[in-house]
Amino acid sequence: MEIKIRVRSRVMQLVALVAFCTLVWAYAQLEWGLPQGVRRAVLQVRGSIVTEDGSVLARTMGTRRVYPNGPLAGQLLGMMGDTSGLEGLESAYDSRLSAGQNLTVTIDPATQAAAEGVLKAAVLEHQAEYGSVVAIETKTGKILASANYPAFDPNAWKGQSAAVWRNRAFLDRFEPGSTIKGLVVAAAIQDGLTTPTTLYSTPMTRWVGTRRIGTTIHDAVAHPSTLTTKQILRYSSNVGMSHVVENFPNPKLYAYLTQYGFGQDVALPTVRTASGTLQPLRNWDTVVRTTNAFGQGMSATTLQLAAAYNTLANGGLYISPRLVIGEAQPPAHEVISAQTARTTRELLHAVISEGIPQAAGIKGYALAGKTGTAQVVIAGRYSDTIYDSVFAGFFPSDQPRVTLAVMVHGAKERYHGSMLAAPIYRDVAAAILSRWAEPPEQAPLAGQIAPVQP
Amino acid sequence: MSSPARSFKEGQGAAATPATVTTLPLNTLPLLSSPQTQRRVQAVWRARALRYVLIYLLLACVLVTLRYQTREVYPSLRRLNDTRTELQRQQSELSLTVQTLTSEQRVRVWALANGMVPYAQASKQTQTFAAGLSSAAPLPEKPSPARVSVGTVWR
Repeated sequence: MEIKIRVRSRVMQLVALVAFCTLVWAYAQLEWGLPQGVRRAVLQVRGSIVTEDGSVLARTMGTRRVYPNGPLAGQLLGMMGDTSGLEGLESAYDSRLSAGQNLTVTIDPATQAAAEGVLKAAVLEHQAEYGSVVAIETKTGKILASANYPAFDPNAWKGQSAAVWRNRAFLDRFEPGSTIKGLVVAAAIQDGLTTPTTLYSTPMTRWVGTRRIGTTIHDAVAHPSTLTTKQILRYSSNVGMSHVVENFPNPKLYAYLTQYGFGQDVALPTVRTASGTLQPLRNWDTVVRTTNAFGQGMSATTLQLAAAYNTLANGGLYISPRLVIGEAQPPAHEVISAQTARTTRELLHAVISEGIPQAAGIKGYALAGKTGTAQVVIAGRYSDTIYDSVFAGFFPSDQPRVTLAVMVHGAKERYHGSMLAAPIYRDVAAAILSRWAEPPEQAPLAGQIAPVQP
Repeated sequence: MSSPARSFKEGQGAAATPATVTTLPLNTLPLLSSPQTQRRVQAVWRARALRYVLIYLLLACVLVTLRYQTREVYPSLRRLNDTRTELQRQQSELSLTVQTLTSEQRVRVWALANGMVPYAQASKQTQTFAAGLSSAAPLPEKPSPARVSVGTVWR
């Protein structure tokens, strides 16, 4: 009986405690509205997209998603639907942003603004259809700018067509044209197939292939009948490139191009990119090898072209581009030796300093790069009226810090790479050098006033 | 006295030999089924129930009293919370407005519209310093003014 009494007592104590706690909880419910209110508040806050310097690219204000810089990096950011991201980073990192986590991107707002401003002015001036610019920090692979034109403002995306919000720098594939020559020459030097001073016979046209199957290649820029490898880049000679790769085994050149990233997926986690095309090795013959050596019969994105040229700037090491801080980055791999990369940088510096100093050079600064003008394939044939104007380069040429790639499609006027893409490269480089407050390496002579670039 | 337990129960007030008690197991409880014992048990039970109810009521009263005494705390906290939320919203909006107004693209557009050129593309001129400047200039006799104003004219 005594046990029963004790049990009853304990039960009553427990009941009293539970009843009291229930009373306290009921009070808390009435007073604070917990816990539903807190949970609801947390769910409503979507993470922001910010840059490393703290600039806000996207933030939620109340129930509204705001992009305070308007069209700056609009295609890269994408846009929000009613409840989730629809395009760009908003879509790619939707789950992370929905969980309230911020996203820090590598974009540098100043470089991005300069790239967009220069690209816009050039596209309008040359009556082009669209264009893109990618800037990469040489040593780290950080994407400093990914500019597209026409511009896209995510604040008012509903009034704009899908073509406008397409991130062309990552998705549009095009034939890189003569820009590829710098990369192929580097591979040939690496394999001992040529040197900067090797001399070749270079008529303006040449038949390539066998007697039965082949094609005639042409040069666009008038040049001497013999050219060194350095001059082949300077005059952008297709005939000269046919000589450079004449003894290049197909599997080796194919391997070099894949190591530069052509025909491969860009190792950017989550973000949608195009891989471009490189013909399968079984299709390679003399014609394919030769045309690929001047950038025909293959395709790449502006991002891929920038990453490939960054290999030359980065001492021969290919480093995958990075866009989001904290994401895993594959290890860098060596494509060519540091010595070969240095030699190629000198050749590409000469392309600008000796070939197109006004179009792509800045007085007092050492810039390096290569132009490209590619006919566009329309209905299976090369068009005679639509061109892609391309440029890829880096600066300063002796110790590069930034690599740039430019592509403009469908210009109606002065569509050559040296007339359209090269000045874009020059002006974006000038904006970046100015921001660094980098003094000129070659000081002007006493009393000499350097002409201002237009 | 047919069983030791019964003899123990009945022997509570009667004569019980020590020999009988010592034969019981130590952990054996007595049977408490007599009316008197039942009443005592119920009384104990009621007393405890009453005590617990009173404790419950007392705690409830304490809670109500505390709630009464702090009746202004929660409305005040809610007002402060609302104010803080509103200020945070305004701060966020203003910071974004400042960022928008001072963004790189606006500064760049403004600079170019006002005829400025990037430093890297600007005209540069060097001049050799005249001889004789290697030695330090003599200090002025009069002390420099405490404040110097500098005017900048953009061209």
